[in-house]
Amino acid sequence: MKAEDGAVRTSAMEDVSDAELARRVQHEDVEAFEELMNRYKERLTRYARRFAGGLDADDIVQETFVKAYRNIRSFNTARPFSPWLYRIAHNEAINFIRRAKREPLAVFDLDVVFPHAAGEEDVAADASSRETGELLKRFVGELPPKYREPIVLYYFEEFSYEAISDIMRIPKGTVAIRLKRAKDLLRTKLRDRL
Amino acid sequence: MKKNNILERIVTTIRAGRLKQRSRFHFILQTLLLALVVVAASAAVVFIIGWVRLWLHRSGVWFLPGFGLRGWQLFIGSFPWVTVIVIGALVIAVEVLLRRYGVVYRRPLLYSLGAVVCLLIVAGVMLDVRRLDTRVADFDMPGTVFRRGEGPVIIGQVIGLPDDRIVLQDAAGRTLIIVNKREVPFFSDDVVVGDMVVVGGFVRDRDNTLDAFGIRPVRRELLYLPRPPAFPGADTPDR
Repeated sequence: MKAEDGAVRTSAMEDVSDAELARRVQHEDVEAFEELMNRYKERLTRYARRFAGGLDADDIVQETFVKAYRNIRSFNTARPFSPWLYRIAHNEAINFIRRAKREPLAVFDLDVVFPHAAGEEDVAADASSRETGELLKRFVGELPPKYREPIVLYYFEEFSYEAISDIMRIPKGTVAIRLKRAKDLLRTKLRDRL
Repeated sequence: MKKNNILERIVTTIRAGRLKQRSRFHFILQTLLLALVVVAASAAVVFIIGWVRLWLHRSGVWFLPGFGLRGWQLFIGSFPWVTVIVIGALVIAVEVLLRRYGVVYRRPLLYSLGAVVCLLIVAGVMLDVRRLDTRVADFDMPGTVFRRGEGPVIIGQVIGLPDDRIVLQDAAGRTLIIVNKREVPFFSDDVVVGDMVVVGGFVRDRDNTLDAFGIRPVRRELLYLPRPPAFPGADTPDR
């Protein structure tokens, strides 16, 4: 009965926007939060797996949802929900990478210091090319974290530069330059393998 | 399957009351605290810059670069560098706190940090600490940060110009003599009796003569003289 009731309520929420669901969660609507988790569990797991490595993905997702619920009242419902949630996932992933000491993470990066021109349309045109798709699938896991994350967010999660800038808290120009450098690195890796 | 377990576990935890939302008040308080720290750190930077400016003028160190390479060397040697380190640390703290906001992190660090530094320096230079409070203006600056005692620069009032000599009276009322003004590399010929002057050089204790490498007249208001006037008959028109 309870499950059936829950299922009915969840299906009724399918057309409700993320922001509206978040607003309901702020009023402690647990079903609304369940719907949000259902919407994002696959995407967040994919993001965590690609960015932080497969082993910790479920832990990262769990921590992300716990922190999202705890801090939901800090979310501004006038803004898009997904960058806010991914920001939490980003922090969790960074914590896991740091704790695991698998890869070095720079505390400070010169990329954020100087202005870079953001040419979003150029990268977007490349996204659909066969070469880029092939490169991404084969070598994205071999990129350093600072290049891997924008690649995952842009090509796999399909976020805009602005959203990636909000998730990683870096300037849009830095997102563009990291994507460009990441692609150059991927091409070099491909050339080395051939 | 495992993912569904995660969601079920979270929902169960919420329903059991073991996972609670933080109140809106918590985030408002957090924002207010952050704003308070930013304002306090910024105010500290502005105040320190204002104080450094006051000390540079009052000690005469500000005028040393006008005396050539040696003047520059002594200026650099006398500068209160500890304050620069403190200002740097506070500015970094302000920038780190402000980078939580989109309006700051969406811009390159060069722009946001540059804006913070420019804003605080302009505010610091514009702040006349003497106008804050007389006690602040005439507060004895910490000797560990601001050099004390006889330094490479002496401020005095010309009380006589016999032959090639210049006779001064300093703030302590001592009479100091420059024996031969022609031997001073940076000497301003338009010095007249009654002028306030800045002298780059050192006092020889035994006979109160000055080993000077530069001398120039200075307007009283540029010396930021303390209250009461440090020199007999010297009013402080900048007040």
